[in-house]
Amino acid sequence: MIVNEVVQWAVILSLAVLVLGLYRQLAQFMGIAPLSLEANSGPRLGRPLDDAAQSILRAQLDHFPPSRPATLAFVHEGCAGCQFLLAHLSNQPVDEATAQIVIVVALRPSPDFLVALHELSRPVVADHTGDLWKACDVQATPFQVTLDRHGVVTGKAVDHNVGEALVP
Amino acid sequence: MSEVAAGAIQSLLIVLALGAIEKARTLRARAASWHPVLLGSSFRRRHATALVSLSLVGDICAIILGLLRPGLGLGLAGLLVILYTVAAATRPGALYRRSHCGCLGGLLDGQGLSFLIARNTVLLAIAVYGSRIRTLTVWRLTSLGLTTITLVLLGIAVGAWFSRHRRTSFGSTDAHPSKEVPA
Repeated sequence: MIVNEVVQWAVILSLAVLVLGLYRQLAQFMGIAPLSLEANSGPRLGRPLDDAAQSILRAQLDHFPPSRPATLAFVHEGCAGCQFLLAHLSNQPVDEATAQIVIVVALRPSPDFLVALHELSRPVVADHTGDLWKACDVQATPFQVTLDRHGVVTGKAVDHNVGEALVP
Repeated sequence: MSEVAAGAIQSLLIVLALGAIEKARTLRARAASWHPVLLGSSFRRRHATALVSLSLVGDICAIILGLLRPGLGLGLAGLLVILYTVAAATRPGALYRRSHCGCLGGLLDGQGLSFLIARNTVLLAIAVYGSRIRTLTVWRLTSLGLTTITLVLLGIAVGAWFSRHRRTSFGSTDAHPSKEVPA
């Protein structure tokens, strides 16, 4: 009898914690509580990426700044939202002539993740040290930064529904 | 059956339903092979769509059986919770790689293996308790206790699910006008 009561109260308290956790998540999503990590993150609009970011990109890409408008798509392996962005890129054929270039930037990717990313037939930058993410002030994923042909930042967003993302 | 037990069981079924919705969304977007739990293993990646589909079928069966034959349904739910925990814990890099798997519809989607195990232990305890029950008889909407908490949980989870699909843009220059999302 007592054990039953104890178990029941343990369940009540556990579920109460679940409810409080959900309330906090919902408050963040609805803007009642600030998304302190995400708000105003990323590189400054209207300016080129900083020198540290540019040097890392030049070291791993054939051409930087890109010859066409481009999007840097920051992803990492443990990000549930990134799976939809990557699936979108995987399912979309690459039009070499006209498409905006999408450069996938992966944070500390495992070998298996890198292999999967290269199957996207898009430029991939592996940020093994996290320096590029730090230089671009990425605080949440999937994070996208658009650049013009001169490498100037023209847009940025954290996108949880990548069907309508900056990525075309 | 006490209201506490009924509420706990209802909560578990709702959590499974949220997970099933997430899996359906993953399959619809053809994103199974990019799921964090399946991504790190070439075997899991090759069979990702089949694995997620089987998981979805399992969740649906557990929910239906949980309503009609709680003993069977919750037993199946417990087994599924164990399988999902093992799958998440055994993926390459699980010990040091934090991730949001979104496995239960993003419900309390904390990072880290210890959080996952703690959360799933609670769910397993509910499933084990519920598997001894023959019929689910307590569905009083006006009752206090966990039935009420369950409804609150459902409401918040549904709200969070719809809200997580909004886009947070930090602006753009005239060259690439973005679609602003109202705060």
